[in-house]
Amino acid sequence: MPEQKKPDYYEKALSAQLEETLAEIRHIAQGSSDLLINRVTIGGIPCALLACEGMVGMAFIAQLILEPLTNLPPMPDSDALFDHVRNRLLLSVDRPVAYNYGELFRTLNSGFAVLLAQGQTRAFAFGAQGYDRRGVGEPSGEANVLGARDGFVEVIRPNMSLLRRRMKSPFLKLELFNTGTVSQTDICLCYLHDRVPEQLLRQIRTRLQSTELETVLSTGYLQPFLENRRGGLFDTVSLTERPDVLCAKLLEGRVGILVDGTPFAMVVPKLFVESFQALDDYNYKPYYATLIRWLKYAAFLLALLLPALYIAVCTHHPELLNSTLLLILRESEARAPLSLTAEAVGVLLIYEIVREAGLRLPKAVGGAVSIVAGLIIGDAAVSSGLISTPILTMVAISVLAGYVLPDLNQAITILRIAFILCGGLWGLYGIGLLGMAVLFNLCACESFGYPLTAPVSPLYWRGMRDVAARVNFRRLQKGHFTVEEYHE
Amino acid sequence: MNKIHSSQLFAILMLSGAWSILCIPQVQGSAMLAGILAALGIQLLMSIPMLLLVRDGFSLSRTAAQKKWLGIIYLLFFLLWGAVGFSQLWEISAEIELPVSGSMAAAVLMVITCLYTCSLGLHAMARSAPLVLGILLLSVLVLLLGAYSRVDITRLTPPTDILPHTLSCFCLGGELTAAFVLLDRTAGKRKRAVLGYLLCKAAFAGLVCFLCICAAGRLAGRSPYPFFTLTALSQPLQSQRADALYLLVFVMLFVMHITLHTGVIAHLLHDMFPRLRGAAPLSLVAMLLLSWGLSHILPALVSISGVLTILTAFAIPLLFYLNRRFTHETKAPAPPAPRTPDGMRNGTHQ
Repeated sequence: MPEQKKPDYYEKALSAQLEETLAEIRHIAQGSSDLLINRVTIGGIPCALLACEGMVGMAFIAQLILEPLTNLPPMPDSDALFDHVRNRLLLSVDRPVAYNYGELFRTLNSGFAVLLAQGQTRAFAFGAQGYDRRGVGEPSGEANVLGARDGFVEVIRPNMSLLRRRMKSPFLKLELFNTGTVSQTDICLCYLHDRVPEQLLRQIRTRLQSTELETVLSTGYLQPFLENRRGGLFDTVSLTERPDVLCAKLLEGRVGILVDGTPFAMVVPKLFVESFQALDDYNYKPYYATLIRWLKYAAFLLALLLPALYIAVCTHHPELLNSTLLLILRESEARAPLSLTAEAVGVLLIYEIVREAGLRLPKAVGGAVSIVAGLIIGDAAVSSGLISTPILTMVAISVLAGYVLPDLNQAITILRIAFILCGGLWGLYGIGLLGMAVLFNLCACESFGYPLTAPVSPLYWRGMRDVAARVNFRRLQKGHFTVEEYHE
Repeated sequence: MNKIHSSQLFAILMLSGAWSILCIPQVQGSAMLAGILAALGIQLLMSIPMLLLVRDGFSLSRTAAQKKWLGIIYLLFFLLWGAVGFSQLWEISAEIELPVSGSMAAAVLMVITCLYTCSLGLHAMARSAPLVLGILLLSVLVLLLGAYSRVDITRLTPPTDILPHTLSCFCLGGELTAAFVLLDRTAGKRKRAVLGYLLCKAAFAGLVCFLCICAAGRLAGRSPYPFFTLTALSQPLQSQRADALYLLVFVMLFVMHITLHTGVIAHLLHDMFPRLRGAAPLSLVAMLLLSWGLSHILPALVSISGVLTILTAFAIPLLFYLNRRFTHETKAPAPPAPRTPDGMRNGTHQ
């Protein structure tokens, strides 16, 4: 399996001389202030206990590690000491052994306390994490009415426990490894090994281990390596903040990828129809869930096409409007100084600026954004005649419809503007051409051999029971569906 | 998987065939309806050698890679068929007044779109075809809802002189040749896909002609491209026109039609000349130039393509099939090798 290039110090073995080892550690760390080196004699052997300040629980180390160690009787040599510590003392549950500086620093920087001894070329690490972390709370996105209120956090181990708590099957496998030559970020592959296709797993592992990244700070760093095709408008890797959603997808034979430092999990393969599915759909009655599902399909089309169709019809095909509507629109647009296309693009760009400002501003000042946006754009611009009310209404409906599908926000934003330009320039002809290009782009996307448009195209009738409608659970659970059925 | 599913092939052929139906220049009475059905019946019979040949494992693209002359015949056919399509686009765009400044601009926009769609490969086209077919079915439903109230069955008179209409409709059936090229890249029930396409095309053509005759009446015989006249007259709602839907369908069908033929050309060229790059752009430009140069003789172009359809979809497959059968039947079984004294035959111990 291809391996990432590691720094020079990584493979260097620890020295048996304690002083030499400590000198090398200080040299590699370049005198970092948070590196704590505590010299201590344990069982008559000179030792050193290393930790990163702020990463370890001080009380834990003092009571559960240092105290038992310092109370040890004299040992004949360091081998006997380490044998006693390893096999007779259970100082912590997680006790990796480091043989080189790379492993030593990785465990040290992961919140482990590391024990070195004179005469030993290995270091014992004890899990003593005590760093501050955000508590498990409701996810910021993916809100729901009837589902759970817990979401992933930035630390990978609690995220793994959230999965394990929901999926008590022994077939749930959580495979940890690290990536990023500098950051050594922990990544966890999650799958049910009795359901996941072996080929899919192999491909994902190969892709992740062949990434040549220095650091992995979020899922966005890894996502391009998991996507098959450049130039795709739609994501082929889905993200979720919810452990219950991830468990549901693992049950279908997919693979989840947790990244330390981010509260989002990636799931592959992705299907386009998943962007229209929410956990609440499976808590509602089937007839209501089906209605909501179709509302979302309509919202997608509205978000994408409404302003463009309005502009195309008003500019190039006014004969398609009935006479009353035509007169109303004509009167509204008569006063506007700009063309419909320019108005629509202008309003959308201003909306994007307002949205971005609302995201980035501190909360104390954030209220001003809504006042400015509402008064200036919503009221003053229309009253002064800069923007006509109908186009503002169409854009507002389109934007609201886009909020229903946050997963598709990026594609909808860009395509909406593109459709407006095509509709303004070439009417319905231009919209039809761009629509076909977008359709082909969508159909060309696949995720590890799974078409993005499955089960609609290629058509799988069994899959349509959760696409065209949301059938009841008695039928939904029949047949032990896995996503492998869609593989081409 | 390098193959497309048979249902996807059916959808691709159906969409390209629907474009041909939309481009029928005139519907003069029920003779046209009978002519279309007769033409499709002939195509049904013509498809038999092709289906038998493919069943025996024949691959046109592999054979064309070895026999370049064969590939060139098919390339010329698809180029001509694409040029006919562009010529039809120019003529129709003048009738339905596309919101584009000039027919050439409309064609160039179409070429740019088809360049992109062809670059995405056969699977993209295969997966998008069923979705576009769904939109076509929806538009047919809307058309039926609008035309239902206008249908006057007394306008349907017994057909006379079917032959000219049969020949003209036959010449609009280039999809069989495309099917012949794609069948070896299709998995599933291939025979059902081709036969299903012919039957559904017959049904669609019959419905369009029936509605043109019975709903549009005399206007169908006088106005060019009566399908668009029919859609203008058949509005399901009084408060809102539905013409926009048909314009979108028109664009979608033409994109599928040209993408199919360009994709097939690219597929053949890739097998015949593996080092050639830019097959799709070259073929699109060639189609455009050919249609621009020969648009004034569109009826002759259509006739030539009809003759080539017989050659490429029937005559050549029939020849290859007979050659295979003949070679298989006249090939006598090899005599057994003489036994050596120690019982070994041909050096191997028996």
